[in-house]
Amino acid sequence: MHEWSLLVRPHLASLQMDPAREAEIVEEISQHLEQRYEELLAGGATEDAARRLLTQELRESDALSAQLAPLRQAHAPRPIGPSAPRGRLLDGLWRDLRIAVRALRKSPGFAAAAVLTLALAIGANTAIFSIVDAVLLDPLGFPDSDRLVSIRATAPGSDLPGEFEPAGEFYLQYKDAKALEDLAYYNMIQTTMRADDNVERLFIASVSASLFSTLRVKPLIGRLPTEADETGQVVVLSHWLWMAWFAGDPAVLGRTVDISNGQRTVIGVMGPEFRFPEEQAAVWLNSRLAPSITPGNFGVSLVGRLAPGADRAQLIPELAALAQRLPERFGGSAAYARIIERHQPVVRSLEEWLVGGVKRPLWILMGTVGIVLAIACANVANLLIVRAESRRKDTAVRRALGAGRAAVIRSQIAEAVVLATAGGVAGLVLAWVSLPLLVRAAPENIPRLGAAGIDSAALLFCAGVAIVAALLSGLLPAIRFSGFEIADGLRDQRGGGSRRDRHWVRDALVVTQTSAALVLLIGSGLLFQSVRELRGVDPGFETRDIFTFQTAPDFRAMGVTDGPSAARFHYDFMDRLAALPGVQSVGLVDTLPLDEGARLRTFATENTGAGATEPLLRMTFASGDYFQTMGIRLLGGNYFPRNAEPSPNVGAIVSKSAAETLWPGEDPLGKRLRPAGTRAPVDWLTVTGVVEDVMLNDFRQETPDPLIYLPLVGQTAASWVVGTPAYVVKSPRAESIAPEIRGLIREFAPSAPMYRVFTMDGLAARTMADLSFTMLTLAIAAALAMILGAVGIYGTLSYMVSQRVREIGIRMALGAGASQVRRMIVTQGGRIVLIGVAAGVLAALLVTRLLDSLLFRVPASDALTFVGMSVFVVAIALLASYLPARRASSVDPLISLRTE
Amino acid sequence: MTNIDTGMLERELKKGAAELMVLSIVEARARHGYEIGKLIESNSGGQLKFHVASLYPLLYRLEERGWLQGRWVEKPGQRRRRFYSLTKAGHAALARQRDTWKSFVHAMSLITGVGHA
Repeated sequence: MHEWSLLVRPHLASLQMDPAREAEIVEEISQHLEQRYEELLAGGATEDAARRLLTQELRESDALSAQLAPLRQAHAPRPIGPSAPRGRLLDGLWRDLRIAVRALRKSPGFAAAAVLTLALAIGANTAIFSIVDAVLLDPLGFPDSDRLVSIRATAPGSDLPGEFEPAGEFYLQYKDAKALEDLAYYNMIQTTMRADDNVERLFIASVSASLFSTLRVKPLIGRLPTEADETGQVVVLSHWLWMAWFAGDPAVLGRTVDISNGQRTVIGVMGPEFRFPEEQAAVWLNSRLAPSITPGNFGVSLVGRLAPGADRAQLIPELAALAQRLPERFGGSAAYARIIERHQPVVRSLEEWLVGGVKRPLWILMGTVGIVLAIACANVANLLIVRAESRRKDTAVRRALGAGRAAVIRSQIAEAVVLATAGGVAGLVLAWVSLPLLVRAAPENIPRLGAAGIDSAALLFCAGVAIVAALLSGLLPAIRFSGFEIADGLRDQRGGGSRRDRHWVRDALVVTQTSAALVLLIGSGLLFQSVRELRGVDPGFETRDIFTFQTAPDFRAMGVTDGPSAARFHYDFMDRLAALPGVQSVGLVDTLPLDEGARLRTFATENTGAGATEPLLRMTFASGDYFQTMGIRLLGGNYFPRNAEPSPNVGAIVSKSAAETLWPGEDPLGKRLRPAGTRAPVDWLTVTGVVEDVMLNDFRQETPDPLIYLPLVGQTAASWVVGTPAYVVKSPRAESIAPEIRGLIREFAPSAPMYRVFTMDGLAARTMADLSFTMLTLAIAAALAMILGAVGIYGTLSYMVSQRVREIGIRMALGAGASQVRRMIVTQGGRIVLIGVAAGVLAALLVTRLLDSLLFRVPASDALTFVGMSVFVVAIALLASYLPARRASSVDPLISLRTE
Repeated sequence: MTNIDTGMLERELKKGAAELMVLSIVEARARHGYEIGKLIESNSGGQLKFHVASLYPLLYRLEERGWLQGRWVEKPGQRRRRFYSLTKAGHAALARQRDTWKSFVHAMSLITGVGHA
């Protein structure tokens, strides 16, 4: 039949027929010729004679094409529609696609494997993309946001090491910089806000009126603050608070709300997209600096807009020069002057400042899922190659019948397109399902994460990835199998040996997969070890079974006005907490480690002479059984006594490193110290206890911060007031005790909100969220990569074995044992995998450097991880080759020789 | 008809009458191309032969004209084959052509004196 079609086809070549119609005609006429041929043979003609005669009849003066030429069907119009553009390569693509769908339906196992593989990869890519899109691609969303800069400061060699936020006087001084068009300051504070029945602890952004002009934003309704508005008098509501508290009622304009016990007038509401500087910002409170500001209150954030044409290189020296004149304009202490002397401005693009920290992990994730996509494509390409090989003959016949190389490539790619389309749709569903889970697992500090969703950009991206996947996985096999010689394809494949020339493509794919999987495995291995190291860190306190929260009673209404009255409230409240069932101990601390850290304060000792540098230490207030509850060890002296009365003898507890900083080599007990730089001098405090150091911010700290603890009440009633500390409650029911405590607060102070509700375990997990999130996603990607890689190796070797059944049969017939055959196959697989491992190790050495900032106490080129993961990959690969090897060794020589 | 004029006759007569022959052959029931060719040959006592090169273009032409309808028919254990049947328009055309042919043959016999006078 094929032979006859070979004869017929060229006669139609000069016509422009619809390929489908042409195929029908070829089929019909070939059948006719075949029947005629048999008839001639039956009539006694020799094969040669019969063939000659038929060839002659067919050629009869070009009759076939000449007679067909006038027919309409010989001038098939170009198909119309999007599926069939004019280009030659795309002619009949629609038909190819339909054929591909039909063909795939006949091999559901293959189709399912390929679609699932692609769906996993495309889904992962789409989900991560929608996060990257929301967080990185347009994180600010302000007009000309590339001109916005964040201005911070450093003062190397001063008391303020590292980078810090400037102070209010910097704003006043920088305001007129020529390189700046606009400048604003902002400060996030957490405070209690009340309106009607709503009482909540909220994040309030205290901002200069210029913030809105600097960012170039407009309100949704109402107006924005101006320089004429008094400080603290007017607020602009965030969209979400306006909806939650006022149900979106425009009549809110002109109303007053209570913030930090002060009445403020609502003048405007921002649109839902404005969430500066953080998602949580509930309102923007107008703030104006007095020209007679006390300098040195660092911690005010500055954001500026560069003047048109100006750049950061111009701005930095200008700001540096302006800052040097700060002490002369605003005065300040000697310590302040020293800081300014060494001060250097730090100017970054606002975008980098806001999302710089999460940029790298996110791009790493994007790269990771990209690798998974590459592996998936390699896998599908591999499957398609195997399929294409089994259709070599078909392809050769098609070429012989006059199909161009492009047409063959097209029909081969059609299958990949169908697979990728199905994979894309399934991947989209997968992304849609997994994105919320991913967002929930992500660390809180990723800005704009809430905006991540499967939107039109994600859809486009998904479609794009699917197209890339189709091309990647389809083009290679298509090109590979469209170019071979027709004669070669038609020749019977009864060779004994393997066709080495055709294996290199698949071998290369396996090498790629193995190396990519290894890179991901090594990456996640390094992160896993970092997490383990971090978990093993002793932060100086315990995290198990500790519940913590804060509350903000209306102290004025309760008659709490000074230190002693606040202390009495706290003691009463702690007694009630301790009486709850299952509570073992209760304490309080002004600023909780891992949550709020502790404030910086300079301290003087009796050793510090006039003019000497007073060391900058951390300070907080603690009371009740704080140290016992947190498991902070007492190294000497005593805990604070229960005391609500002012006394000249109040003590201080110092941490080990604070003692070493203040009194190196001496016994700190009985030594005296006092906070320096306060407006009214504070009397000396005697050290009555020494406790173990604690890690205040996260577990990565290599050296602990020296920390001074002060009691609830100072020397006088007005020394200090501890208003809203964090309470810590030790209880085996830490995870479930919150409702009871909420009930207790309602009883004690009905209008007080309960906030910053955590377990210490939860806080510990939060500090590692960056790392855990990256590790989690990388581990998922690595697992995917490994599974896909193993399937790829398995597929390749299985196919190789099936191609070599005859050779294996001969070997076994000649006396090769089963184990020898197994070894042969496994060795073959092993060789490819080893090349992949070598390539993977090299790639990982380059790639893992990107992880450096996430790693903890594990070098980026950790030998153990590299070796361990390599061994793991080899083991998986050997396992994947064992199954085909076992099948090979169970070959029955007789059957294998006969079947060919 | 004699063998002497086969070449001329085949060309001329087929041109005019081939359509009629094919339509007549599929009038009773649908037949495939090879069968049609065979029937023309055997019914004409071997005088008329259609080669593939002229038979199929003719079939396709009649099909395009809407007189024939080709349909792939699959039978168990056999290759599918294309069967041609007469359409409604085909029946009408056949009737018309038969009339024309009859008058033509009649006229020819009158003029040439060939045939049954």
